Amino acid sequence: MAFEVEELIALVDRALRETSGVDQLSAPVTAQSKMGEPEEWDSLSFISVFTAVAERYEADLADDDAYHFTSIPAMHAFLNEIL
Amino acid sequence: MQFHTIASTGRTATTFLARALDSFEGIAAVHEGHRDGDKDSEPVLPLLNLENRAAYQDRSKVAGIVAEKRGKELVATVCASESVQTLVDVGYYNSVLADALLDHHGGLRLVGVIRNLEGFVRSATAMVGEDPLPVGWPDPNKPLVTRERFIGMGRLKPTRGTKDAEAWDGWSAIMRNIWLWRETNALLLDARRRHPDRVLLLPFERLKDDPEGFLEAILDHFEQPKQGISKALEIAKGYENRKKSGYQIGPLSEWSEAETAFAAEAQAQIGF
Repeated sequence: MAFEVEELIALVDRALRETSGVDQLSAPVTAQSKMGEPEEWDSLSFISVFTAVAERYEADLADDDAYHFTSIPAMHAFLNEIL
Repeated sequence: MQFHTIASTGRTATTFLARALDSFEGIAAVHEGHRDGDKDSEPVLPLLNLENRAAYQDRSKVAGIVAEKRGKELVATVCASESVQTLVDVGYYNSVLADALLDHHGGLRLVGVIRNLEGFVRSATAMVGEDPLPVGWPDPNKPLVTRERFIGMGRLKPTRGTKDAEAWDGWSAIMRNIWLWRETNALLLDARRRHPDRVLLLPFERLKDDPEGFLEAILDHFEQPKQGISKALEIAKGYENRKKSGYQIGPLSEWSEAETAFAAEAQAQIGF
């Protein structure tokens, strides 16, 4: 199941805003975003992103997969591979 | 410009060692990316956590991680911005990255600190409450706060499809931390086997018995001047990460038969 990167960007944006409790992030989430850019994407919000993606795509993710969730390009490639 | 690293399982006074080394003129020593023991400040080197497990489970990733997060240009930039000639990176992840670091940086030297198995497992195993220093595997039934969960995602775990991975779910926290001790130190022993002149392994217990000699051995290995060791140890004294809660498991003599046998096998393999 291939899906558009825009859908993933929107999902990550929402998870980061909810975790940080802000309406607008310090920088927009883009197709090239990675942990630290925007700065709200830190180690604590990482878990929210990981969980939100797993729930949205009903993916059976293990902690071993976490490495692929540190940037939008890596996440997109990984999800396209497993879904 | 020189770049060197210190590696261990964790719970081996690495924060203290980084602070001591950082007090020498011309050396910037960072602990898990941060200088001056300030984990709230911007890291001097990019943080590594998830990369640790990924690199362990898929060795084809290691060279790329080193090139991206500990590459020559980055090290040169950090040395320039910190106004030092020598950068020392102290972190648990250096065990997994050891070979690639030694290949990538021709002049790099590595010090591995190996603690005795019982001391490490007792210090690293959390059974209840939030672990402020989540180095080891907690009790499988212990609830985790977000920070513990994130750090755990980067902790070494058996690779899928291996015998140890199959056994993992049935293992206690003690079994898991014996495994962690064995695997981390096996990587350090492998690195020394491949690069005997560039890898120095020191027993952690020597630091307690002879801190000056311990620090001197590190400086010697890194080919650094050794004046000011006493002062460096004095400065670093406030940076000892003692667990306020103390040990949450008993001594090895109280471990189960399976845990004791697994520990004996691991000790025989590592030889420390």
